[in-house]
Amino acid sequence: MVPLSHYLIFTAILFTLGVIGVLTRRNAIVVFMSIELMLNSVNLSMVTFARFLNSMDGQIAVFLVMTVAAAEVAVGLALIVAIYRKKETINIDEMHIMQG
Amino acid sequence: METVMSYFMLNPAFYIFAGLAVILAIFMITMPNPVYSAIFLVLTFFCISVIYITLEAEFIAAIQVLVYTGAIMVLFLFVIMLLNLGRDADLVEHSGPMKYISIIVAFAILIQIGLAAKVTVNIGEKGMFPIEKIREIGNTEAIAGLLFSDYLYPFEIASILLLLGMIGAIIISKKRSE
Amino acid sequence: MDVILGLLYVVILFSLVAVQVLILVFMERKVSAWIQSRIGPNRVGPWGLLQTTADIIKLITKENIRNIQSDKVIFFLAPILAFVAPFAGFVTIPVAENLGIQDLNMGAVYVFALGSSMVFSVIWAGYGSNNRYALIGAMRSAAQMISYEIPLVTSVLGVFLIAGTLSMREIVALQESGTWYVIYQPLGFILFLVAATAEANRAPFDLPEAESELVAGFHTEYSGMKFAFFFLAEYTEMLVACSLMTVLFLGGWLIPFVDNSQIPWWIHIFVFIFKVYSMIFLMMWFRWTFPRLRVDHLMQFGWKVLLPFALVNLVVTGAVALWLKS
Repeated sequence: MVPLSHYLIFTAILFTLGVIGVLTRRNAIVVFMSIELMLNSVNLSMVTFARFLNSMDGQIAVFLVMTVAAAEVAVGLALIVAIYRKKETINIDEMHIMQG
Repeated sequence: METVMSYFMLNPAFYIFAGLAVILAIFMITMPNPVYSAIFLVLTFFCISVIYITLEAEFIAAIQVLVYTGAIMVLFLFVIMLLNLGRDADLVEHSGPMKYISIIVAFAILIQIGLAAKVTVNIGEKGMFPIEKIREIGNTEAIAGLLFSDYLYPFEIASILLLLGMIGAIIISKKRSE
Repeated sequence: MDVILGLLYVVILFSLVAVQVLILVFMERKVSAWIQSRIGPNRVGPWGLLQTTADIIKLITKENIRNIQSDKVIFFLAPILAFVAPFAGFVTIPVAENLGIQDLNMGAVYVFALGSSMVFSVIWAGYGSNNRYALIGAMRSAAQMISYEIPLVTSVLGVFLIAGTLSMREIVALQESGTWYVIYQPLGFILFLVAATAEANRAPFDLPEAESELVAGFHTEYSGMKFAFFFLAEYTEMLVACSLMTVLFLGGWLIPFVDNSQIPWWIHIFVFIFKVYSMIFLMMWFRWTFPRLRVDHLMQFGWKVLLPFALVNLVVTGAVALWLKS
């Protein structure tokens, strides 16, 4: 059996890559995809803990996270489409109407 | 070196696919073209689904492919093509100090999580589902049993959330005919 | 050791599927000729039997043409994925008792998961070719496949409700006494048949490649070996869909009203193949019976006819199952 720490380090690396993607990229779609990557790494760590703690609750939580992610993606992409219609770009630096 | 090799021999699938997932994720966040980013993310999700199988969570692995690659990533590609962002070169990315500061911040987060992982390894009491029991009743049955008893309300709320997401997406993205 | 065994399985399965596809293409030509009162292929080999082999040799030896502005990597990956996804679906399908590569605990979900990743190959093909017709075909296809995936999965949920398992082998074993699930789930069976035809992009749902409007849809730019892979993929997909129908609704390898434990395993294989081919014949018959749908009619049919019926079927099945249990 692979030790727990190896799984956790792997999920931490994936999460960090997601963070780098969110912080460095300006393309709203890629930022969104990086958020999905972060969600996935958290899911993986939850399943890992469920397996190592002899529990099923982690897998249920992942199931619920996936439904929330699906709803979130549907709404988020709809927002991106609406913004693109209005501003003709999806560069997130251009979206600063609320900045006062 | 010895111990690393022995761990590798113990479960090569995990190490191979974990390494692959990290490489593919790096490609995903560095590709200038969002279509390529989406493709690498799909491949990363496949690798993660294999890692779920090494954790003997077969149902979650299948759902991962079904929901994440089959529905979510298709939506992403669909929107990229709908807005014709594939050959979009005009999107100026950050460069200079901001980028490096971001990466340093990200690595700080990595170190923090890594330290936390080191401290919390193997604590907490064991639950009621040891792996032998899950194998006996089947992974899907175990999830279903809990989902429709203890977790019934979260399940119902999640379904309402999906419905709301669907309606919201239609309303937001619909062209207003004024 | 496991790796070698796995590779061996893949090679055997690939050769079996390739031979099946050769037979299917020949069958498609003969069936369409028969429906249209033609003769069909009759020159190469006895009764034209070697016509498809000749065609495959032609496709393999043809020059590989690639549009200079196409996206090299995506263009190359699309036909491979198109074939691999349905091909991997065969892993869980039991052909006879104890004959099948691996019986998974959630076999049915696995097949549907692979089926849902089929969409990528079409989108990639459309995007990679850098051709308007191809892109329009791919967009239509993505919309169609996502829409028909939902009634496809919803229509079989009734079977899983009755069976109480997702394992293919157990589902077949439960139909032992001649009670095929098509008897309990006639509506589910019809919905599944229609949705599966749409998922496989077969006529009358072949809008992604509607040749009269889109040249050849998403594979307009493909030629030679890559085109052969799309061809292979379409028939592999049909085989998987019909095998699923056989397993879930038509009792798999079982012969009704007979004690199946007395029958040798090779007869079971022939029974299974007979059932699969009957379903494939039905699909070919559809092709020459119904006209192609218009694109908005197609979406309306999926969302406003198939999905409500599938949901009603599911609710009624659940209610009856609950009532019978209590």
